[in-house]
Amino acid sequence: MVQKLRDHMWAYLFILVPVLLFLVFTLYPIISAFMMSFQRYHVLNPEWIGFDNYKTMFADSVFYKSLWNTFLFTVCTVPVNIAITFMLAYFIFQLRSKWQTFFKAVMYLPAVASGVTISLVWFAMFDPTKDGMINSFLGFFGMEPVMWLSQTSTALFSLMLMTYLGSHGAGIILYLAAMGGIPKSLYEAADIDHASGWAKFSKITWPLLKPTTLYLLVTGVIISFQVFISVYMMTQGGPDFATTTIAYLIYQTAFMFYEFGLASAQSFVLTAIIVVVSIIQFKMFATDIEY
Amino acid sequence: MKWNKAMAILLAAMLVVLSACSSSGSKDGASDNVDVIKVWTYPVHGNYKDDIAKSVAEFHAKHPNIRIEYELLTWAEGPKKFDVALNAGSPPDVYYHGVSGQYVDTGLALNLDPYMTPEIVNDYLPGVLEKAKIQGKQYGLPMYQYQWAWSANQRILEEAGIDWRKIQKEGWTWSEFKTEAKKMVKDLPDGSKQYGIVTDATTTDFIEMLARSSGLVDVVDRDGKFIWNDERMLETLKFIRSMVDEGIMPKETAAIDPAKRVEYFYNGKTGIASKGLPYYDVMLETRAKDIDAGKVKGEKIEHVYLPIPYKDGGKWQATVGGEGYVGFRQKDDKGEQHAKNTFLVMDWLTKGVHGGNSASELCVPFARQSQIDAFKGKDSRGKPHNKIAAEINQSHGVPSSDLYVDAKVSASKKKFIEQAQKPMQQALFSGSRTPEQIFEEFKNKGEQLFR
Repeated sequence: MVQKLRDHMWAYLFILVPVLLFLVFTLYPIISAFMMSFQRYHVLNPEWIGFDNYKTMFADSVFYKSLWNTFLFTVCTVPVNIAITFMLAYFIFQLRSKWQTFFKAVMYLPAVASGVTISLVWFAMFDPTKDGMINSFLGFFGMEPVMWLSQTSTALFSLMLMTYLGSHGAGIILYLAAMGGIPKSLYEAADIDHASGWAKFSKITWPLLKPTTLYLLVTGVIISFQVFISVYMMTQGGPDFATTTIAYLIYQTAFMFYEFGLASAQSFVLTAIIVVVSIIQFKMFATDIEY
Repeated sequence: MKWNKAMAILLAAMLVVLSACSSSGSKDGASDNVDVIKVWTYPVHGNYKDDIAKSVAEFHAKHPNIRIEYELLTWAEGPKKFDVALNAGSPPDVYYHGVSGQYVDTGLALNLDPYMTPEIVNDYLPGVLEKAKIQGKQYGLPMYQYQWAWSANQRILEEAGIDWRKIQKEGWTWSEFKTEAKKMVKDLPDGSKQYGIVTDATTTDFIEMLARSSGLVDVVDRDGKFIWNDERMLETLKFIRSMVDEGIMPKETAAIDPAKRVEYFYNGKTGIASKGLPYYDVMLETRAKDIDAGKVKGEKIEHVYLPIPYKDGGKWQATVGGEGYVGFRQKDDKGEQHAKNTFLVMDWLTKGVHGGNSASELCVPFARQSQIDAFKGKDSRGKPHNKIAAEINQSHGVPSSDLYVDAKVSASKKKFIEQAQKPMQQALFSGSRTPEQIFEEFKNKGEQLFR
């Protein structure tokens, strides 16, 4: 045992650094937040109140509204974005190597920009006057200017639109890598059997890309459930709670109302939802692929 | 050999990190006799960075045993940084802000009453210290008396034949305002429209100021009773909605943010901008210089500071308050002497020329006699007619109920603003809810939060 430890001492030493960072900056805050969710947080005299924060949360209509908005946002963005990402990757894959590299770089560029910067650009595009970029475009077709971010009917859709027209870079790179890993022999065999293009796609390409799709689905749902920056920058949860998501509600509860206990309870409910949804996704889509 | 080298690098890196961590926890290498007072402030006015540097240098010369470490926060991120620090139990000793019930509720706000000498109390102008008290206890020292109202473009007012000097002196009613505002509405040669007034849907003051002018001083009264369930609130909401319906305000008001509101004003597309303050004199003067220098394109605007119109049959009630420095203790209390030194710094930064420069630059009334004395005979910023208008407006001031209610009511009020007022005001401007529906929503939310 001692000999084994001595043999691997260097490995343990190097691992120690990230483990310590994980304990201090991840595990400790999670445990603290969990305890806080049962307290009326006060910087000097926190008070244990049992499940009161959870009761308050489940009695709040804004919480349910935020839950619904988050669910709607996830359902309407994740599958659509995966489809868009897949299509873009599929088209890029048909190109010659140097063009593939060019498009990979172009598509990945927005990922380098911060969410705040992207939000500001979109903010200008959603300008409510007829001079706004999107409204000017609609004006060509004789349409009236739309108050994109200020009407309950369009505000959440506007935030969804931001994801449809961006943030596909990382997914495209993953898909392209996965497509490149599919053995050519499978397609050659299919050609010998006179398989149609659709048959090759549905029987070879798509099944073999399932692990990548599952990864994008799980991470997409997790990120989508935590959508915050665009809400914070563009709408502040309004109008009339039309864009209040759980992550924004947590922020509001903690940093506007100073109710850190309640915010912690909301965070743990969000965590529970994400864990359950992720498990379901793995159960439904996970398959062992060997080729 | 290779491993030894790697080990040495790793240990060196760890030592660097450890020494960095430990030095940040020490007293910055200062001698034990020097007490460090942390001040978090903002660029209160254009030259504040230079002004505070000078004030601090003078303080250090006079008090060698106290060192002020100050930081200029940004208006956008500063409040969040402070909120996190406060709720973690480590706020700065001195923070630039108005007093707040939420601060007091943390138990970390420093009660200044034990340190208030008769000399300091008498230096403050009548009624000013009250603007930094919560339930009768002093938590802040005001640096100046702020006020909010509306700002107007003199050219547009005069083209519409509006006697703005009379309005500055005598105020105006809602119906008088509407009559005058309609005169300013017209189509411009470039195909765009000029409006009577433009506001934004993000900040909450537009409704608050008009509700105050209807006689509802705040969301709650001084006893903490919810009062926005009064019929006058419904009338206020109807009045605001009618401005959009009658074309006095843009129909896209629901989508206008503060920057866009200023853009309307600077581009001469509105006669009046809400909100405004006397400091617009300085801002527009700077902008005019930039236009002359070719840095900015546009029309030079002559600023007119206008009061908020009041409900017919009611009375002029202006939005006023005191802003300055608030004192704090930390979770790990640094002791009584440190608290005394904190107060000493607060007094220094708000008195005489140190505090007076902000009032002078912002063109608002001074807070302390020593500030008036320091600026006697000196040229002050701002247009004389706007300074008089600000003084008249100040005399009609009604402070916020926050100064009188307990922390619980204050927190509920904040929740009401975020969860009822903000969402509903956008709905009011966009027309997705009627004033009656919004009034009902206010009543329900108020009943839930203030019962």
